[in-house]
Amino acid sequence: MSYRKEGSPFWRTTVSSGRVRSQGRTANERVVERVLFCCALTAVSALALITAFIFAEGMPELGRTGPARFVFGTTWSPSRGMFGVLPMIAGSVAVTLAALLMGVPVAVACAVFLAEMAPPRAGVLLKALVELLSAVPSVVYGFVGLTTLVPLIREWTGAPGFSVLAASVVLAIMVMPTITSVSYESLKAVPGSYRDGVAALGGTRWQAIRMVVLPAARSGIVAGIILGIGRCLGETMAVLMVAGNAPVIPTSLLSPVRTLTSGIALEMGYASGRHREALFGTAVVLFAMIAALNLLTRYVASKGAVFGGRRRPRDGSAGA
Amino acid sequence: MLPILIATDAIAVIVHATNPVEGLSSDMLRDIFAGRMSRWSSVGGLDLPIHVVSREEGSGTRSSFDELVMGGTSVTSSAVVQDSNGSILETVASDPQAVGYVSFGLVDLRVKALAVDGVKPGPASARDGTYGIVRPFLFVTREQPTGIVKEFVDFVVSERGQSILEDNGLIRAR
Repeated sequence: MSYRKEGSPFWRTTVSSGRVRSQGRTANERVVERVLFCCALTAVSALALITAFIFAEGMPELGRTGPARFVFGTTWSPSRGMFGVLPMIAGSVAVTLAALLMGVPVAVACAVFLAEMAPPRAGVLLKALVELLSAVPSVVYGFVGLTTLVPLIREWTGAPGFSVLAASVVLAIMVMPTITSVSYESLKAVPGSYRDGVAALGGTRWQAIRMVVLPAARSGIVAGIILGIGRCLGETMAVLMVAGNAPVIPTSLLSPVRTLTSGIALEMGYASGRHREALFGTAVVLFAMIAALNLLTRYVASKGAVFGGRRRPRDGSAGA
Repeated sequence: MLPILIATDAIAVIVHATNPVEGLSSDMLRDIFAGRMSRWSSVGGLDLPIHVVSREEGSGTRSSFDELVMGGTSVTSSAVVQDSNGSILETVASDPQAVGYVSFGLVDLRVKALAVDGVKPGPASARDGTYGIVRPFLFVTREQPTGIVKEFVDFVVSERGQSILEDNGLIRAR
């Protein structure tokens, strides 16, 4: 059992021999290398182009309104020239938090069941089914939410139904497969000897899970949750269909809400001039939030490895 | 730029088919969409909150509505916003407390078009000017159309073209 298998999250798992040193390459190999290098370059330059484009289009309006007034302004009314995205930031945060509160416990519990308790063959089958959930297009989730969830909430509460609640329930269902499968992999990566150790001390299976396996898999589970946060912040279509899209800071679970992404999709169709630039400005804000989240992911992942008292791989292939 | 009027379109204010309210004054309509009037009972309906449904800013229907109905006031920011006539129709058709606005041609049996200032929307009332919420549909060309552009414009304003527009719920321009 190599040390890397024990606690490192699965996405770090690499061939431990590191990069093959190539001496005496054939011409053929050199060509392949060049081609692969170009492919890698394509991905990076696409990112660079998108970033440059968003900032070029979005910064003028951010400058005109003033970054602080743009980010902390509470009124979004393009026809009156007022561009404050705080309601959308609050909307994205509210919907994401509510979705995580509902989705994370279920997803982690599901992963624990699949990895630790289910008979191995059933576990594999059920996991495949859970992963199938993430292959369902988001517009389908949105449509189901629109035709079942929104009327249900309307009937129960007398509110319009388009709400934080509707959006976050849809998102909770959508992020479950992500969090479940990442958590599952990190639970599976915990060596069996840990469980045997607990059994030898007279511990039950539940004690092993709660006190040993879950803590050992913690960094992987947290990474799964962060991936889930990314999905919540980024989801556009499903949210657009059920959230009601009112650009006001939500005051309750039943308030209609507009997120950053669905706000862009909602108005991009007919926007022109300053309005269009302000939508790109919204994208800049979203970009900053997602970048911060990515940094957080890397931080958590590295911290997890250090906390467990494990050394990080030294071959330089560990970059997330 | 040269505008060519091809048709006009009445914007109908719609509520659920079961809503007992039959009509509104234009002042009431403005107050409802501005969020100043929030219960159906104040306009002769049931004692329930009004759910205002509006289009997104930038849409043509929204800017016509803002101009023709709202005047200087703006639609309440807590209104539910939908991004097409179709989704406004679906939302109002499924919510007995909702009020929204769509092109007259889209109104179906699941919703009821309200009379505004005592006049029901329709081709006749829109043409004679008694129904007030009417907007023009224009073709825009850079100069006097020639060639195939002229042929197409001529077709659209011809008897045949106009009756196709009429079949699709618009009001003929000539």
